[in-house]
Amino acid sequence: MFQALGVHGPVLTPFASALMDIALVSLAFVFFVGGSRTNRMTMGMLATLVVAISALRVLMQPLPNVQPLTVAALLVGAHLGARRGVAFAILATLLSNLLISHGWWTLFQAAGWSLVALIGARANLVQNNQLQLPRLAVLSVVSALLFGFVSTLSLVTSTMTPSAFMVLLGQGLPFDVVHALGNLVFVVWMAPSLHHFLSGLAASENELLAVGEVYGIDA
Amino acid sequence: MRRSALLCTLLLAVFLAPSGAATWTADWSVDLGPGYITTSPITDEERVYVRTSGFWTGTDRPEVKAFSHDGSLEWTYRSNTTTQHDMAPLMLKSAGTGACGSWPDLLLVGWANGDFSALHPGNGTLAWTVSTTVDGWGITGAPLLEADHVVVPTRNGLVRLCLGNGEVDFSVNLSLGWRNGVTFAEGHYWTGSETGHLWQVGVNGDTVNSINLSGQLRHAPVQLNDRLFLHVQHLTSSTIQTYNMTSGVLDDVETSGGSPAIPLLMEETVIFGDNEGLTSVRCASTCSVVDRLPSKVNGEMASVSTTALYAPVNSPGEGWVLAQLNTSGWFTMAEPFSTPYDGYGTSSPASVGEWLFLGNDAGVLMAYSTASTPSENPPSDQQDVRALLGMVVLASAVGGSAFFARKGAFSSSWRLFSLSVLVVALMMLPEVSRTWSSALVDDNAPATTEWDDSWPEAWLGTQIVVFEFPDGPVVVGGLVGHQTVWSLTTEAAQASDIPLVSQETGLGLYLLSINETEGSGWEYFLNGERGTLAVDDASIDSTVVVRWSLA
Repeated sequence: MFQALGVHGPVLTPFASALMDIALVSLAFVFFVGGSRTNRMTMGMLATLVVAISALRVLMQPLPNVQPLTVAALLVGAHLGARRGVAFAILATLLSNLLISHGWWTLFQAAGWSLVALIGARANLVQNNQLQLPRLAVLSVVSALLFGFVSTLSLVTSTMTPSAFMVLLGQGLPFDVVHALGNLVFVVWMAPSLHHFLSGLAASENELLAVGEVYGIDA
Repeated sequence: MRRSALLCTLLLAVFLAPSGAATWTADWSVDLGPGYITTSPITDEERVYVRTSGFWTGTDRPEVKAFSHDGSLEWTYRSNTTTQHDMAPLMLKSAGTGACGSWPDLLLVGWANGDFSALHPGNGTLAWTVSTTVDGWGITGAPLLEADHVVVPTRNGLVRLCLGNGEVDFSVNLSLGWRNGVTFAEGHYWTGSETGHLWQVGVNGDTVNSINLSGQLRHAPVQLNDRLFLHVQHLTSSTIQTYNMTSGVLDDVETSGGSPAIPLLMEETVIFGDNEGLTSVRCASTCSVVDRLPSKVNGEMASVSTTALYAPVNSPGEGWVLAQLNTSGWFTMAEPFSTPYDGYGTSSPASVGEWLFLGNDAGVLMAYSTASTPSENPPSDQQDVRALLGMVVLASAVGGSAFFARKGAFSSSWRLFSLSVLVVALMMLPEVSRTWSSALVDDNAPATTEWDDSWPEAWLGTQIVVFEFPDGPVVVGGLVGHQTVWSLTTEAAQASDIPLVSQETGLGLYLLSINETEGSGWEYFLNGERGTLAVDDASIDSTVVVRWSLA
């Protein structure tokens, strides 16, 4: 299953890597289509958003730890709920990592951004269809630190002491700060447009679902 | 707006202020190739002499070169057989006559292959050469010039040679030494060793005494009155000690940082350097620390007057520091001396007349002068222009942000401001990350934790590299003198014909593949602890095991 225990955790065999990918995609699919009914337009638009944010992440890869996915996960969670937020986070992580660098750490990054999406879903970021920008800004900073912690867990080895882990976390702090600052930039530059896009998506979904309930479409 | 304008002006003023000693101006420089300048250039009234270190792969070999003061190469002497870093300081001896004969002007050179050569400074031809013991390496310490003899610290003891013809006057075996110079005091020779001894040798070459130190002694003891000053190296720290030659008492003065420099005597004050900086020590009935100056000095220091000294700062992006002392031993001023080739360095500048010559691990010999018509310094000027441009753009962005805020366009104001802050943070990230990581992980763990009993004993106390390939490890040991993981890894790879592929990133050098093996990337461990800095930024001790593993 594992080729070796490397410094980034287990070095996955191609088979194990494929299994991890299938598991992540399946999990995303379950969250994506499970729960409340989803119309095809929502799925299509959300898939487009996954591709767009993944492309943006790949594009911004030369800038260390500037992560557009964090603010996007918060907003998708806030607008479309926890399940779709998690599905979005998993798919965007997987897709972008396939282009950047894929391995054991993908699991932890997907978990980190899923957690961020969950926070977005529970934080009342949208009230009366108005985006709460100050709250989003604060949460984007908190999410950066939280994501930093979760993704650092991928570096834990069986021989690592708690103090060594703390040092590892500490070493990542400057990068977490840059992640937080990058999130703030995305909040002021990208969040209003993304909010507008996702509001429309959520509204159209509600309308179509209402029609569907009357005429039996999408049942 | 007035405040913003004032702030910008102040920032620009601070930025544009000149750095370094204002009296010296860059005159010429010459790149000596891919090796290092590990020891100080030396000068006479006609030439500057410099030795290169780190050349022994392919057709490259260590050399001694002589340049005229205006930068013309006069001659090159090449050692075809040396196999380790050459770090024994060069020495000049004027022509003279003594009991064992007469000699012309000589340039004395100790080699890591055990040879000790006397060259004619005028043309670089060989006057005489003597071979000494080689055990992993040969001569690495500073010789001691006497009236008609030179005393050379060899790999395993001392030899005294006649300056006239190199005839061996005496040879004594002590214990393994490295960079250990020799001092003559109170009628005896004194030298340290890697086995933690201070050896006392009589003028006839008889071993009189050995004093047990708690660590390695890698410099010539410094004599002040009846005391010898010693900076003893431990695994991750050092101890400043005095040895009273009359009473035979060894006293601890201070515990300090790792990797001691070669101490410097300035009047009644002794200056020590190490990973924690400079320390001044003075003695009355007992000796004590007077002052400390934070820095990282691991090599040679040189005094330019009774109260001023130059010390090489052994850190990335650093040059030299010019420190001023008062008569009580307090540091009254410390001024950085910056060059276009700042970086790791252990050699002190050499000055003569209106000239100052410097070199470091970048392998570029630089000449500064006080002449009134110096040449321009393009690299530094280009950096200035880029930085100035950055400042202007940044100031414009902040100014624009203030403008939008004043107009009530807070959204645009925040956008511009947050983007500016992010850009600044990204620009600062490499340096902040490097400094922060260095602060978190202060010193390398002891090399003993990684030592493998199957390795040759000659590798003890040296630098070792382990490449862990999927089909088994490749180990290269017995290397010395490297300051960074990158330098050590490069030499180990060259020695084993292992190709390396690296990539320069904003955060430093990144090793992409070793022996055409990429995996998910490579990571290094220093004595078992994960490396935290880019390979070209990660400094290493003189005794270290660097292990490369697939991520």
